[in-house]
Amino acid sequence: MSTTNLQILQDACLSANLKMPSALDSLSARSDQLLKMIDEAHQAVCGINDGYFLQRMTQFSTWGYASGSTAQVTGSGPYTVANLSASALHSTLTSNGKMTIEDFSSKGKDRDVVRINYASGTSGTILSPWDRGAHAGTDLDWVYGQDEYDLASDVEHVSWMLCHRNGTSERPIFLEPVSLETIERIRSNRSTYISNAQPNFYCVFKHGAGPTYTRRVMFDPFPYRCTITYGYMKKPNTLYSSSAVYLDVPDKWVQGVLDCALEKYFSTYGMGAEGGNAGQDNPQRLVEVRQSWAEIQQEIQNEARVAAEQFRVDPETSTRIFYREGLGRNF
Amino acid sequence: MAYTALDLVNLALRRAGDETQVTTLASATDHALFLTRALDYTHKRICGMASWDWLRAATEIQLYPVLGGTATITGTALSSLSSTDGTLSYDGAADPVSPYIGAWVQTSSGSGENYRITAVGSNSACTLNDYYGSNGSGQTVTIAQDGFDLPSDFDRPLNADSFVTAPWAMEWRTPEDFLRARALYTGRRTGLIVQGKPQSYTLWGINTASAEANKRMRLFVDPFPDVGETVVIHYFKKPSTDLTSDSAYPLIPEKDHDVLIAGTLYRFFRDRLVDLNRAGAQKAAFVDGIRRMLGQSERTSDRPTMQPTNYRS
Repeated sequence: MSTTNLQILQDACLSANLKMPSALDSLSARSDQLLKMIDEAHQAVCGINDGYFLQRMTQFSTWGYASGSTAQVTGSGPYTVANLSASALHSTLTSNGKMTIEDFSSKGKDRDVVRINYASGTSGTILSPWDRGAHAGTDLDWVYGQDEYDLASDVEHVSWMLCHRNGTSERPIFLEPVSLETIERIRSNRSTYISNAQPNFYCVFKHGAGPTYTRRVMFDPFPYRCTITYGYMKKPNTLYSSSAVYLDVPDKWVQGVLDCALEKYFSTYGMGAEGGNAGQDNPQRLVEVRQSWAEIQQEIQNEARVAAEQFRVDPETSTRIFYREGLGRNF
Repeated sequence: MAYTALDLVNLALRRAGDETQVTTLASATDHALFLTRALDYTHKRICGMASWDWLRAATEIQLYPVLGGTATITGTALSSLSSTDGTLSYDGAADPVSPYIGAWVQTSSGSGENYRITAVGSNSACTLNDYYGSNGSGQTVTIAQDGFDLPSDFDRPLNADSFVTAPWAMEWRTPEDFLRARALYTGRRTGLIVQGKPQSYTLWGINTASAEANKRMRLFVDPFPDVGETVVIHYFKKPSTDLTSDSAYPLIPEKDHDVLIAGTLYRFFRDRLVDLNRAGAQKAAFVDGIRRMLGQSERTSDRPTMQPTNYRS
């Protein structure tokens, strides 16, 4: 009992007086455009607020801090830091591991932080500018930590993050969301930039490019190896597809998706009579469709208000703030 | 007596001026097909519009206890679970379903890391999201579940204070408050897995492979239940079946079926016949009907209502 892209396209075609398709892989040009508009409308409805239907939860593991005193630097640009301890680097490292390397060139650079990429479990490619050259010996002190991690590909934005442990020196932590500036200020005010511990803070600061725009999170302190569990709002499914995809929007608001798509369609292509005589252009009809879409938007936005009236009106202010500020769900 | 979906579509067909009645919705075409779908959408929309008294429902939720015991762990595979508290209650389906999916796992190996169960293969075997400890048999494990599925017709809680009832007190917390209460700095909690009678609860969305279930929420409780007790929830439900089969009944009370018909015909006249005059008349009837429905309330309503003082006597 959930609406698919084909079902809503069929309904939209019936409304727009287009031939009703029986499959998604052989659409007419107009039906294809209508499906695109349905996809846009679905994204718009999901973007109205942080709906409960977009909530998700998942987890990932961090990779621990490592250090040693036997590193060497090879190559001539790009340089490679090698002879690290076994399995110091992990293959998930993607150009964001951070390392400090002892200054063997006596230029006073032993506190600078270089970014490295995974080459093997015991070596990494230096990505940052490097003017110290190579070092054949295997006697350099090094410290490595990975503070950045990709989030799930369907993450739109994060609501909360946990690092829960039961160990003697670690505790369940509710990570505090902070700005990137705050993280860097914290780091600059301590003696060691790459300081490892259970993370206390996180910042979702980077959105990858490409079709998924994968979000990336940064922790501080640089984490131990641990499981991070987080809750988030997902991105809506892409309905413009030749295979069956379910709408994220609850059934009660599917009419809103339909009206929003029809508004786009009528205002783009008019109400042409491809399937019969019934589709003459009628400005009043466009107004009606727009109004209907506006009414359903109101219903979606009002849901929080209706529910809020039922919450107790006492100093439980955090409840209202949490729901109203887009930090959580809206019932 | 309530109308079925077939009755309502035929009623709408007559009101639309179409003399031809249909005998089944399964093979409906053209006008009957449009009306069937519009009826279903309108029904779902009306049910979600307000906290209708007639959508109030109650059901029981089974909690599952913390499992303490021993197991073999190799990589991320946990097997040979032996616990006197119960099993993973794997139902044997091709797509593994278990009340312990998503549960937290703590082992005797390592530094107290908590892992999470991502799949269950049998009553005594499951897969963890990761594992950093040493492999081997006879490891002490604690498996604790705090999230429990809500019914498929769950739309939203009745309200915060009386959503969950149990023979003991339980308090609602927002998701953030709930999670902060488990933390060291804000909750003075030194370990995640604390067993006992649940005292607080919250809701959060779930992710499963099922499209419908994806829109559902889970009830989360804390502390982790030490025994598998049952709690009662009160909620507003939503239609759990489409109004597209002949014998399906709407959730809307009989006296308001005309509102459902008006909403359906509005869309039919607007988009199928493109008769804006008739569409306008149906829209007005629909809006009036919704106003009338909003004005109705049960004496025992959970909505804010104004009552004569003698109602309380």
